[in-house]
Amino acid sequence: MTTTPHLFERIMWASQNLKPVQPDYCVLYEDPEEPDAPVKIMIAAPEWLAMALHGGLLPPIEAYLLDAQEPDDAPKRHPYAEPIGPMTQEEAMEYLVMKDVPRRVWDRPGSNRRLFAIVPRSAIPADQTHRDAWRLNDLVRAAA
Amino acid sequence: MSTVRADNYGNRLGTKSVPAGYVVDGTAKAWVSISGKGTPSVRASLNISSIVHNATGDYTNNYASAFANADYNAAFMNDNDGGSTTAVTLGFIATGPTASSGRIQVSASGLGRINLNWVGLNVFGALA
Repeated sequence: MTTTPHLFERIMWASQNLKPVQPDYCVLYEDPEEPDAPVKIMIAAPEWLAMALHGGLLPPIEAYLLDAQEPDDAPKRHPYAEPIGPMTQEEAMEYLVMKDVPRRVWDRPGSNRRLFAIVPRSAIPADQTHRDAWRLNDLVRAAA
Repeated sequence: MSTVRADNYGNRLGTKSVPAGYVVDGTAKAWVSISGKGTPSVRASLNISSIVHNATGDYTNNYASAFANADYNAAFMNDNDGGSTTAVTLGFIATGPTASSGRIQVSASGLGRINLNWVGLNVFGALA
């Protein structure tokens, strides 16, 4: 019988064997619980993205989604869940939305208003003088 | 992947040793170096799936492998903005971290929240 190594062991293996990959995309989102806040910008960690592209290391997203329904200190499924295969960068961004963006942002049955977008990182202005005035629709328009 | 299993690690003379738990639990389980000026990015990390730039001087780090609970500790690091900024405070927001993420804010005396070129975090604790 084989047992799946803990996710942290796989992360350590990746840190010694995989070259980090800077992401081509980022995720922009607005949180309905912070209506006055500017758009949030989520960036994948290059080491994590390398694991996603390699395959055989990260757990299925379903394991994280089930863990998210449990209390914070409950035992977790994702460290020992059977790893999934390689992803493309686009698939990795979709995975990351479900893992790291609050569910209230991406799972809104009956709502027409989009609260997140996956855009090229190059669409993010480097000048952040007015960063706290940035809104989702402005950046999405700029990326189009 | 193979694992060395032992109760203690020590030198060959047998004069110095530490319990395996000291090594296993005493090392950082996650760390990240964030480039916070310009387009935010992760320079390098361990056990971080993503960072979120929430607003000026406001970041969330998401762990790939979650902690057992939110009772972990973190050490923070930042630069001094080329010497132009002093008395920078950096830490988790008042509600504290969760097992799967931590939101940190960076402020400078007299300036409020600021983006800095170097924002670092080392996290110690037990993983789930």
